[in-house]
Amino acid sequence: MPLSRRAAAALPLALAALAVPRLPSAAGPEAAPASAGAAEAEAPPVLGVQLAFGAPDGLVLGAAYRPWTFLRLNGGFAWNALGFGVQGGATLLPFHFGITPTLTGEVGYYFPADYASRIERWTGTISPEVRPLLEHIGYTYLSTQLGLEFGGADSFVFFLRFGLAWIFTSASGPVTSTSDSGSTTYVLQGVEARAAVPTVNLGFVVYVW
Amino acid sequence: MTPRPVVPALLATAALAAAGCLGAQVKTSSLCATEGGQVVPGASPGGSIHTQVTIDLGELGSDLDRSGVTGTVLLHEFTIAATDPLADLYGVTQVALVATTDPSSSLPPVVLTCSYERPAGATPPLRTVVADCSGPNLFDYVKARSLTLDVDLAGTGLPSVPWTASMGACMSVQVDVDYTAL
Repeated sequence: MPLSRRAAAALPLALAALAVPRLPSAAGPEAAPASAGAAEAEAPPVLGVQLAFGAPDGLVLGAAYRPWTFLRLNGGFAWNALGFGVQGGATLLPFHFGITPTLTGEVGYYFPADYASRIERWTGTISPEVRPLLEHIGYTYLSTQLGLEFGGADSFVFFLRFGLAWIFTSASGPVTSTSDSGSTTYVLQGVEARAAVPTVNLGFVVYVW
Repeated sequence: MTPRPVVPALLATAALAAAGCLGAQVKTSSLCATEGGQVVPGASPGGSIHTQVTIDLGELGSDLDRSGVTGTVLLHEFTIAATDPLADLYGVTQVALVATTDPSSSLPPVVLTCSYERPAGATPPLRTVVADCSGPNLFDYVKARSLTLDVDLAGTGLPSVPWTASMGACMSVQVDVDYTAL
């Protein structure tokens, strides 16, 4: 199966794997040829559940799909205490050992939300001049990370990654205000920002199927 | 709000996001500052008006005057709006701007290219003149904490006695912060 088809199938398959236990063949396991049973027993699991936490990712719960032993794809839903988003990524695993080095690339998108109200719960009132810029804001990010994975390659792995992320966000405004003297009026609109920031990520994958 | 809360807040946001890393960029397509209560002298015998306005950009200058902070400030629109009911700007045909900064600065005056066309269908009295402008990067002028515009209005039938107006400049601003250089 081409990689693209496998990748497209990853998320629903993984979710299905969570809900449906693996079924024996119609004839029953005892009817299967011994060689086939051995082959199935040797086949590594390809689907799993991944839970990760980091910045700027937030908390991400999703599915992991491993079309080949050296490549794992992941996709899921994200939450950063300010809003919700989605994330997808790919991890290269050059070999499998007790400790495995990894190279990961991820892309994520946080849907626009009212960050102002949520931030005010923690910090108190936000300056009214800045507030409109935070009332409808989300962000997109890309990241690349080097990491290490620990654990059984076919059952449970814990990972820790560090890297660099690029964050892109924008706010439309407009924001209108006056100077302290009252003689100057300011109107600000169309604000865009991007930043290159360090990223850290930790989490685990449990292979289920 | 002066840009004191806004632009620094954006910088602070970028700084928080980028703390300890490579850098950040914040840009806005339009930051307009309008100075009210400006007294404009009457037209000279030649028919032109010369005046000056200093744009108060609050603490923006000091925020930009840091190592690792670079940027671009382009003035793209200038507006003069008469608040005196007797002032009629219908006869204005040309607007010329020269940007300067604090006299103690070594920055030379910069001529901005402005074009103005009276709005189609306008009838006297016309209270507002909006000119599209372009010119070099004024980042250093803003960083010097003072941006002054010498304004020349040319035309016919301009107000011959002093009048009051508000004058404003709209700028696109881009600020790049290299955190490794801070």
